[in-house]
Amino acid sequence: MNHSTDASTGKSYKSSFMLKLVLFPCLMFGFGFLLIPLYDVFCDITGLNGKFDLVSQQTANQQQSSQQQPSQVAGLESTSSGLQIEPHNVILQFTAASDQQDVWKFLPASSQLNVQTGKQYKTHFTLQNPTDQEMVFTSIPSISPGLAADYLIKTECFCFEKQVLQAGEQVEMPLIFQLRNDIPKEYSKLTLAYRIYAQAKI
Amino acid sequence: MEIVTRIIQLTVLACISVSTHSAWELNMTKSATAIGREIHGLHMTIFYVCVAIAIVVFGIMLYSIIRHRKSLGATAKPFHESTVVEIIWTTIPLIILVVMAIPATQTLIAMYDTETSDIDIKVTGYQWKWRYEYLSEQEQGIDFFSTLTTSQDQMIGLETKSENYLLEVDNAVVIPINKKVRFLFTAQDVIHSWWVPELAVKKDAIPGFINESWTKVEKVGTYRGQCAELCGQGHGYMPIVVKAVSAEDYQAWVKEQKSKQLNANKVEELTMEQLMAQGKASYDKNCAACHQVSGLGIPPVFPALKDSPIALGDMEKHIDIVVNGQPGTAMAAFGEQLTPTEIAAIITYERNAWGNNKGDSIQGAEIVSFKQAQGQ
Amino acid sequence: MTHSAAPATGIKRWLYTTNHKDIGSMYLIFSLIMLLVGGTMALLIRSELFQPGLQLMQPDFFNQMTTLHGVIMVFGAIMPAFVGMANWLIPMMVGAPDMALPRINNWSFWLLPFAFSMVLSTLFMEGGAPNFGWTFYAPLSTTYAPPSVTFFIFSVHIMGISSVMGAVNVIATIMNMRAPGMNYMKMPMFVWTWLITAFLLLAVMPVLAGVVTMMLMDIHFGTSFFDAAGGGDPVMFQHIFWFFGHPEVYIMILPAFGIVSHIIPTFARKPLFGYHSMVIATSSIAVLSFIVWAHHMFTVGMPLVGELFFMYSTMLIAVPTGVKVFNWIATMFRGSMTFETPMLFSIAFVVLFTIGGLSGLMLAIAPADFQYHDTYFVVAHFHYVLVPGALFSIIAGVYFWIPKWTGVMYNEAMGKFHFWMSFIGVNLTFFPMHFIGLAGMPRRIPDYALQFADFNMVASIGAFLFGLSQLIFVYNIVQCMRQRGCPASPEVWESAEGLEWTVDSPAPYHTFQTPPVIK
Repeated sequence: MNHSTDASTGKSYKSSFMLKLVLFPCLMFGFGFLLIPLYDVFCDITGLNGKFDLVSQQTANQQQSSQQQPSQVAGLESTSSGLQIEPHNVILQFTAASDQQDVWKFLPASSQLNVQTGKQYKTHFTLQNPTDQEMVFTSIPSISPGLAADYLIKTECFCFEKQVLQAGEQVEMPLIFQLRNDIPKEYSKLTLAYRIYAQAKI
Repeated sequence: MEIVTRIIQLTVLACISVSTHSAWELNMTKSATAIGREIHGLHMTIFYVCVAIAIVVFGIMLYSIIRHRKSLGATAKPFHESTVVEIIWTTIPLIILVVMAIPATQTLIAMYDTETSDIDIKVTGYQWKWRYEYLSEQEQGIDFFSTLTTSQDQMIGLETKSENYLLEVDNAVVIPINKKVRFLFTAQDVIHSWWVPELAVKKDAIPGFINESWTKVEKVGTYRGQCAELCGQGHGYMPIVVKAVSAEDYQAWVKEQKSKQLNANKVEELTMEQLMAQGKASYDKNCAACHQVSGLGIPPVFPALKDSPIALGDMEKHIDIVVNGQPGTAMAAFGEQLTPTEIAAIITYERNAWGNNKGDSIQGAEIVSFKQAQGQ
Repeated sequence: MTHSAAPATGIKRWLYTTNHKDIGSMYLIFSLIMLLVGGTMALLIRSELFQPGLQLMQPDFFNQMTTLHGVIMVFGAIMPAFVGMANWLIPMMVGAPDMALPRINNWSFWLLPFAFSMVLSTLFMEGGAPNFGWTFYAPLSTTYAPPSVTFFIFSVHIMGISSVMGAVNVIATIMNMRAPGMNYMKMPMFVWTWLITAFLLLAVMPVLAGVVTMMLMDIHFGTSFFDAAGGGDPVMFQHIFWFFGHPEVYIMILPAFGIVSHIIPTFARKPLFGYHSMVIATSSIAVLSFIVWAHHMFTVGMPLVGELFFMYSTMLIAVPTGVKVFNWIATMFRGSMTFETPMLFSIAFVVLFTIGGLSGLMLAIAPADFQYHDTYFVVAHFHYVLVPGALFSIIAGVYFWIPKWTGVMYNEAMGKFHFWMSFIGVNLTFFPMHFIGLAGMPRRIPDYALQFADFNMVASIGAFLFGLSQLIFVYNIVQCMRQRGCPASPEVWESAEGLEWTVDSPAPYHTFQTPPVIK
């Protein structure tokens, strides 16, 4: 090939160029997997799916709740966050689902609460293991509208960890939460949904 | 021959009157909601913009195709660049787009209104039916499945197709007019999409997560739609029927539903013939999509029931698999989807149809006690 | 140099060949076969949809047909046809003796027959072929998929490797093998559009490979990327898929732009209008294609900000696309036009692709998309850009260059007949789909409500007209390959520009072994 690039310098240029051409698809393959953490960031920013980042939220909650504890004990409006927003009321609905709703009897204690922002509430979900096996289950929370996920602070939730249930056991699983004062007024009705996925403990 | 006459008929129809024949609907469905009308307006605006662009662009093209042909002695003018012209035809579309984006943005913001609602309904997509749970306090406890009622015979042409072929269900979702109804969508298994064209609501139902959308219907009526996301072989067979009724009718319906819910576990004794008759009807509706009317299934994903070890084996096991499903497979738990009587009829039918000659039968009461033994 | 050797004979010539012309021919013939296979599936689909009711097949088989039709047409027909043309034409257009990496070239072709045999073999497997649509959304394609999905994933991997190698080859050829004096702004448009396409391929095919690998891991290795039960998210599948999928759409249309930009100037006897703006427009379409993916997912429940962003960015794509259409029309304006078959197909391309583009603009309007999404309106839209878009440009290109490839002029009367049958057929098939989509018919359903019956029947009749008229195309090609017809001159066309027209017809086995001089 007696072309413009067949000088001896062209050769090394060419092989490094080829290397780049091969490396680039490999990098893009990696990028495909990188999209997963990127997607979580994306969800965080935009509130897509009402998806929670469970771990980081839990730690964030601990910090936040320890900060806000005194003002709440005193029954005052939480001003420690530096926000000058008056508390207001929001309706929070609860709904639960499982593979077989009438078998698992996974139900919220109350179907909806009229929640004042900035105040801490406690409610629970009941669940019964209908099988004769020890079961492990995970609970996947989701909130709608999705952007409201940022404003719901869960201090204690059965969704933080996998739960184990003995055969036939019935439990009340607590949920302690509060809504941040700065939740925009247009989110006047929220729905918090839990979906459980169970499998036999091995 | 029938096809030929049909084609002639079609051509004639198309020539005479496109608009009078309802089946020759050309445009987007007219909506029964304010948002729907806005969307329809947007659709028409963008459509006219497109038509205008097309007329100008194709007009110039047609002109030069007619006038600037070699056979007419046209000689080529070899111009090939003009910065001014190029800037103009980059800017004009940009301006059109900006003008279009403004109303589109307004409508979108209106659709995302999250102000409080009067009624909340949780819609769950199943393969291949919908479940509606009313969440608001007044309707607390109303919870039902909505399944296609079109018979298999209509589909395979043994029966004439009814007016609402493939768009009819056993339990329609009922909502009052002029109230803001908020829908929460989720799915049990795969992704579905809840779509009623006349309400202009389409939202994906995603397993594990919830989505919301809302509607405020202005006119009493029955609105029909279909699942709009491929969800397996029954994708075309999970229609949506919404009945919008007056406030009084709605109250009456709520009352009726609540009493129905109380009587859900009441069962009556049926004879073998009755069980087999109801069994066939319920089987064709709920089971035949996978296991086929013939009971032969589509192995290996959907096993045959004819000569199957379960249908010919232990009754307890047969009940268990129908009531609780088979985790990890497509076999759903029908315990909550069907009444005990229906389950009993289906099981009896499966044990005695297609040459399965088990000869035994079961009553709804036994299903109830089976479920109770499970702690339900 | 081995290059100057005469071609080997028999099967060995085709198995071991490293000649860009041989490989190009094999790609083109392969894609023609795949077009006929995928087309047969389309006709099966249209037969089932001829009337309401289930006449010919079970819903599950219907879904297998729609899935395989999509996969085969996208990865088996359109993409290999463009690669075949790139093989034949790029070295000749830039004045190079061959592709830069001839052995890789051979390998990337021979992977394809294996990949597609594997895809087609799934039809005979227990549980049937993949039935989850060519977009294979999880969890339908993971937890709920038939066992053959593993073979599907494996063959997508092979197709991906083949495409990436093809793209590497094209880039290396264009960047290193141009004849002296051919700088970037002198390159023919087809070379330019393919260079940009190759970069798109390099960027997104690995992402597709990534997403199918995640599926594979979800199915067999217990991960849960897309399963909510294990903390995954099915919507994430769609984001990753469409991050690949939208650039993929442009991979299928950019080379078409290139082909048409050669044919229209030739038959208008005028240079292409706005060469520089064409290059800029193509590049900006490629760049924009990376930030519009979620317009395929307006109904998944994205927050308002996301919807608005993807709506605006999608609308923006209309600008460079418009520039291209205007440039083609300005090229025709005040030309001296004749209407041979390639020109007819190119004009139809401009008109019908523009219609597809305009319906694309309608789909970009997010609130309206809530009504259009996943209906036949979308089916009409993407078939308008892919059939009279990509496919017509390929047909036009074949008619345009086949005298150069075979040395024989195709039968012009048959070509024109082919054009008019295809033109009528394609519009009869896909135009009514706009109406049934707007009226509310969802896509991918094997049976439909009665109000959609009439237009579906029209579409089915059109599909058979279109499908059968492609047999004329096959006849024309076979006649040329058998050397039946008038011999073609080196220039072939009266005012064709470009290096490929300076060599003999048929092009000798080895061309430009000494680089040509570029003015």
